[in-house]
Amino acid sequence: MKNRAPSILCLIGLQLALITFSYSGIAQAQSALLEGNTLVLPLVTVADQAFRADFTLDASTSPLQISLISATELENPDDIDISNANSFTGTTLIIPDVSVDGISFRANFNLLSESPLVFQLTDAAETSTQTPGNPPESCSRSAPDLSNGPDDPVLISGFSVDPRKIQDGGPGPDGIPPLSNPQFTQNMELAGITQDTLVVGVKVGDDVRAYPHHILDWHEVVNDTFAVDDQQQAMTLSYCPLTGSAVMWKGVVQTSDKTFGTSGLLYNSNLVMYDRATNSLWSQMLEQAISDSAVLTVPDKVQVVETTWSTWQAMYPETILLSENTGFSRTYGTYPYGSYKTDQGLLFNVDNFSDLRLHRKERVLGLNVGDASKVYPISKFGNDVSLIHDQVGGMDVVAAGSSTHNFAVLFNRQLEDCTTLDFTPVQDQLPIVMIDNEGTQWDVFGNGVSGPRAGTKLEKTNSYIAYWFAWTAFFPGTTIY
Amino acid sequence: MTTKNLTLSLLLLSSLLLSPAEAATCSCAGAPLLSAIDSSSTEPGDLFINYTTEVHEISDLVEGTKDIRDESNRERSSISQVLSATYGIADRWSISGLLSYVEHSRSVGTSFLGEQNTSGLGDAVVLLRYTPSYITPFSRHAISLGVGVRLPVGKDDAGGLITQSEDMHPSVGAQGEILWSSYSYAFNQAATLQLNLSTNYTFNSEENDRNYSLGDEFNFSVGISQSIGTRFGYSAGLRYRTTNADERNGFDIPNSGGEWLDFVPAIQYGVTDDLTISLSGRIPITRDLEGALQFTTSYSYAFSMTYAL
Repeated sequence: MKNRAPSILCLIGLQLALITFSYSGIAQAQSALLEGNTLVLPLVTVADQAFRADFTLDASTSPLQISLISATELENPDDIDISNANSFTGTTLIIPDVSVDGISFRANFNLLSESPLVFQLTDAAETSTQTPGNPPESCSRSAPDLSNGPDDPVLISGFSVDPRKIQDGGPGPDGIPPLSNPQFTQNMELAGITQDTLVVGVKVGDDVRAYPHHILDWHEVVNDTFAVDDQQQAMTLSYCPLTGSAVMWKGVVQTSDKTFGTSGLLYNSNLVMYDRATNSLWSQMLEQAISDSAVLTVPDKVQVVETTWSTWQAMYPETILLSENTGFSRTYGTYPYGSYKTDQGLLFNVDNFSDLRLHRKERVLGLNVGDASKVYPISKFGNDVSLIHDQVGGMDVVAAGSSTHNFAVLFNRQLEDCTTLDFTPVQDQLPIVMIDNEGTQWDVFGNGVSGPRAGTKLEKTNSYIAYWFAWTAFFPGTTIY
Repeated sequence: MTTKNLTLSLLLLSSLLLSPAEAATCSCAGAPLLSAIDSSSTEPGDLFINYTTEVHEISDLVEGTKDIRDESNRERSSISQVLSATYGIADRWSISGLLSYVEHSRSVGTSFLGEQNTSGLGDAVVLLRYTPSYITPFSRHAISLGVGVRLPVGKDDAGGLITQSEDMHPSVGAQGEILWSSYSYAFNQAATLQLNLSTNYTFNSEENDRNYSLGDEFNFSVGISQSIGTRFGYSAGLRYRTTNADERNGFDIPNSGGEWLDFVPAIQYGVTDDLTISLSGRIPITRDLEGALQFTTSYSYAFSMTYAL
């Protein structure tokens, strides 16, 4: 899709006179009109205001630049249908749908100067012509593949993975003690946390919690509860310091005791938990039970966001923080594995050990879709919030991340009504990270927070952050963005 | 006291002080191997058979030099049984060999899962010694030098469906080379009171099948041993031990390696002229361990029998 952008630039820059932006009304799909070298945007939303804006195209520039000629505020903006309207976020002008030679495109322009008001084309991609609530006639969105593991593994002595590759780490079951009565605080001075400390952030309803790595390093499992629809919902956060991976699961519905313990075992150097109802073993990175009566059970997963404490606090200042008052005597200020986070050494043998396409401890956002797997190194995201539109295993996805803010998340771009959205990054409005071609703004958890799809949630994917060596150990053949 | 009985008595006392190397499967655990090998004189044709069983409690949780309260109530112990023989092969030359059988157990009190146990044949050691100077009525100095090898003849895979942790395998699973020396000084002509010094160094460069290798290890012991009458004896000494970090694929394993200083007391009784029994212990005095957290020795005690043929 994105590879069509250069051709658009070429068309605009070199064959300007031949291009026709077809305008068919603000309630229709296309929203831009080209008259000579004037681009007319009949409706541009800016916060709660609406304008008509005319721009002149400078055909000599590459990338293409447009300059504001005039802008007129429209009266009674609340009465205007703003679906599929052009919008200006303060930094980005989004033209969701224009037609060039009969092909619909989305075009985004970044603000280049304020006086005069000049924008520069940054992104253009072919789009569908769907509008919210108006899905295509043949909606064939496949059900999400919830499993990170093979669909029909051969069980070996009741294990869905080779049990000889499961290694005892040494401390023994619950020798790394899980937290089953976590305490939270808002007194950050007592929490012993620094601005750069990585945290696992969770948002369930209005309940926002952060679990710092420097505590999780010592406990790995937090059995927690959240209020969901006035019911206490058991949820387990797990973090493996050896693979740098964090996931959160809802309690298994069928069991009375929904808590997990640390088995003391590792599979591909990754945390293996056991559920206290059946003693079945669960692989954290496979996100499923790998032995005993629960084998192949896949839990309901909860989106988490790993980032620095400073970024998380900027996103959610109301957050509470897991307290160092855990009931255990641990030196939380000390990383328990020496130089492990930065060196190439591993404590345990893993599959694909020799895959050094990246540094073994490079933090990557990995995605599994069926048999396809791909990673996005966090360091490859820009300093500002940047987006990657991609297709993996037939799934259209968008990854949002920032190397400076140290986070990356990934969602299915296709909605339940089969609409496939295109996104543009939003800066300086965390936790909002992107806006789609329809004008909906989305936060870092994939929640539509304003615009026509406010209240909608993007589908969580089988994605999370881990060290590179772990991802390639679990998912050989993975590709790197 | 007959010559044989004196030799046997001194042999056992000094062995309790000297050469306490570990057939460790991690830096905090292990079965005593070289401690079952003495440093006393062995005449050509003499044969001494020793049996030692040691209980090794490894449940202390330590950060550097500081004890950490372990709320998980973890219990970790090893029981090793060592059968060794020392034979005088020529004037001033002797050879010692030993075999071990090791049992490990581990449980975490707060866990829902039960105790785990492994057992099997451990490592073997062969040590060739040269003793240029014996303690005799005419010499109060004994010097002994040795070279040896630790042989991975035992069970380095504790079995079961799941691969056990390195410290739960009975055998290290990799060869090690040993340099050994000892010095004793008799304070009196009857040599009933002695100063004993001993050092050994074990090179652990070889990896086992799981690409794991122990860190090199150095031991130094100093102590006094005394025989009282013809049957009783005691010894007391200090043992300093230091190990490098263990490695996997050539990379250091965090939270392994460090320094230990132990107090090593022992008493013995000569049942007959040919048979001596002893009881010994090892009590940590101080330790300074690498990393943020290590389980290490709480204490150990051993019972030993030596028979002279």
